[in-house]
Amino acid sequence: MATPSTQATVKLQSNDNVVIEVERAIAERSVLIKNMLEDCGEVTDAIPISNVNESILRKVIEWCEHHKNDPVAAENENDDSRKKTTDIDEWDQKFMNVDQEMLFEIILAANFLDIKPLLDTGCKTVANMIKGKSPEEIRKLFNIQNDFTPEEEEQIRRENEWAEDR
Amino acid sequence: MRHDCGATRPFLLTLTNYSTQTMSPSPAKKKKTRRPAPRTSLLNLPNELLHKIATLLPTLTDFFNLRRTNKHLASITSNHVTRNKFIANSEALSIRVARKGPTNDARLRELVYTLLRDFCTELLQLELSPPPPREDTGHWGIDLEYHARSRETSVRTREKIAWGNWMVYKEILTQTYNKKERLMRMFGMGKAAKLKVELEYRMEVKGLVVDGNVMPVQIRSSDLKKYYLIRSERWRTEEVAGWDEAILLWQIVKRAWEEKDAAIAKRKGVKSLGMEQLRMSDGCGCLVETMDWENAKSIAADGRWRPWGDDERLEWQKLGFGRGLNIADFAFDSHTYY
Repeated sequence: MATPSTQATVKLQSNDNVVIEVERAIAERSVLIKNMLEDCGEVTDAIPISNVNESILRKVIEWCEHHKNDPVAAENENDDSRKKTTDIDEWDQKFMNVDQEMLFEIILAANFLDIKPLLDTGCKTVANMIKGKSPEEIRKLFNIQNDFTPEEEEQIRRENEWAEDR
Repeated sequence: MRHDCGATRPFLLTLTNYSTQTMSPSPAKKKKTRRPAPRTSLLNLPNELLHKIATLLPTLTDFFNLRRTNKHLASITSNHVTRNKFIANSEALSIRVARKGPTNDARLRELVYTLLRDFCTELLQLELSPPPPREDTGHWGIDLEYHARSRETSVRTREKIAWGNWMVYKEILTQTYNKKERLMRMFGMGKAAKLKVELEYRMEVKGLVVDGNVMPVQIRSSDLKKYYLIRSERWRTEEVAGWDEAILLWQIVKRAWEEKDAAIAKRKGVKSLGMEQLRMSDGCGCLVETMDWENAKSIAADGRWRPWGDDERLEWQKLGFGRGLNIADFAFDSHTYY
């Protein structure tokens, strides 16, 4: 078993080979990195983050820096964190005010790095973008092709009809 | 630069906010060309993330609107797990019923949606585990009567089904055929699951046994709704039993007991029990074949019959059999008992 490390910083390497040095405490917001460091002890080489490019990695680190003092949610609080579906704090809202591609990349990176609060924030942001929009507006917003036949569209509209307020 | 279109087409404003890098710099030249999809788009997200996003949507309408956008998203939102998760989201349906529904009608629909899921789960369980044949071929059968009540009066149908030694009456009061159809589709039910649909948000319970004490009860539907909300809350947290449920059950039974106690006491062979004894119950209930508790040979609980003698009774109490069993698992007709 690895001995506990007192290492102050760690190096993270993006998939475009940029190495970024960050405080260990910040990097450990990622459960993936935290577990890796716990398993390996002292790590002097850069940790390759193969699924994340430099700009997204910097963005994720920016989020982790801001939230480095947040209490880490217990595992059994997973579902509770979903209670406040649309509540996103102001800083996070600004942080997530990016183009769609970057937003989805952040979500994927958070998923890969196992940063649950960031993943939740990203998904809530997308849910908020969908909120209150018609199907056509959602399609336009996310550039989604309508692949329903008119018959299928009519059928699904009828199935949902009961939930509509008229 | 002014953007006059923002006021009338708010979604375009949002689109600009979120997609500045992917917008074409010269929209006039490419008016009819579809904007190329970004490398990472909503549809490129893995299913589990789409599932998560869908479950975080704040309203049922949003949920269904996402479903109507395209086939892939329809399949995500039609997934039973996604739907249940969406419902289980604490800010979703059940809580919104109380405070967020825009109209009474909308609140009612959401309530029905929430409760139907619970009823469906119960009835599915009931259907899948029919009681085994009884060893003593009794001359009687239990009437299970499911009342489906609707605010909107409509056709009432009643069907009697032999189910082992049980007779199940399905009493259906659906609003309209179309609404029933919609609900069936919503839950992806086929014919086999027909019974599941036929329960609505009000189920009448006319009698129960609480810790071996028999009593007829008339539970008010508002109490029952509350009871179900508590139960559905419990299922989310996977607790089997809890004080809130026991207290509520105690309250509703107490009220019924006070009304009926005097009448029961007059009946021959029926043991009348004191309030204190009832208060000590743990809120679990089951059916018995007769109001004459002393002579009861069997009990029915969790959809199954069990022999009921002194030894069994002690064993039952020792094992805590019936924990998690709720009176509303069974709705039965009063004439069976008294």
